[in-house]
Amino acid sequence: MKIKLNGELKILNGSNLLDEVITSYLNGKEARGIAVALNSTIVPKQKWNDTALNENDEVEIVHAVQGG
Amino acid sequence: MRSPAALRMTGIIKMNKLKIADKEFTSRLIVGTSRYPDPKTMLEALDASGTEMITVSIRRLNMHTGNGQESIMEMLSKKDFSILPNTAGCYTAKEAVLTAKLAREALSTNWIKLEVIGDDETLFPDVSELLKASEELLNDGFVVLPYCNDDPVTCKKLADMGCAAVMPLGAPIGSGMGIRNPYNIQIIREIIDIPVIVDAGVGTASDAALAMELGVDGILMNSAIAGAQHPVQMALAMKLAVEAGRLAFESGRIPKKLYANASSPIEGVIGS
Repeated sequence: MKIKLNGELKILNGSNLLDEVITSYLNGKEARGIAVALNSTIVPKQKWNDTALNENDEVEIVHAVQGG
Repeated sequence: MRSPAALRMTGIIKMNKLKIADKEFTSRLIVGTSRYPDPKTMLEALDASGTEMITVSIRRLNMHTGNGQESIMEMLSKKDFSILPNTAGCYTAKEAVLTAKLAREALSTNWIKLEVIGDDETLFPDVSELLKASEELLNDGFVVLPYCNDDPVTCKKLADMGCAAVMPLGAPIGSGMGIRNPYNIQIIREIIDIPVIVDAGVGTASDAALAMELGVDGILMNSAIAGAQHPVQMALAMKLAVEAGRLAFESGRIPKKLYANASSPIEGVIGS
């Protein structure tokens, strides 16, 4: 299944659960201070593990950086 | 002879606090966290500025290290600033609203510095998109601080809508051109009842002092400090300028007159 993750094409071979896609993307980093949008809608952290992704979904994972 | 600090302690010198929504600030300077030579200089500059509120941006989390977009919250772990996320880089109300919601989720704050840019060379705001985004975010319970033009009509609309402050630019972002239209800033201050924060344009300390003398409630700046040859020293200069300008404003300056008015007594001059 193809999705777009932070603007890049990603093929999901395993689970299509949002929670697992995020965990794999973070690669061991703690999921603190981040926010996630699925197709331009916020998905609160407590809903990550019951949100299944569909073909061509667009996921954004963001955090706070230096800014003016 | 008591020092200025002691006079402040006794209440003889007393600068009013800045109140935005439900928060009170002793410092009237809000400082951006971008473009410092390195994180250490940023932290020292923030300390020197005396600021209590700093701005951050929301960006994609990129796992490739060294891309210059590391988590600011990790750099700040031991500091106790109020965090004001911005929607920098957004060109439509839709993008800005989504960015504000992501910021609320990531940082657990409903405060947002709302920027909707209309043109990438001047970085002037897109007024119609800004008004649209403000309305939407206010309806969703955000504390909205919009970056806007130095236009009294737009500022009045934003204030009437329920924004917590208006943040007219002094000059284009990062231009260091100072307060290009002090008359408009003064009109804005006079016609609206919520805090007016000059956001962008300040280049050096006298620009900050001038804005404060016009009666604005605070200043938000980033490039003037971060881009100075000595950012930490400039941060202190800005702190002093903001305080000096505010104290002068609250003190009530003398009226301007075209002709002299002798300050020494006329009576008893020798030879008279």
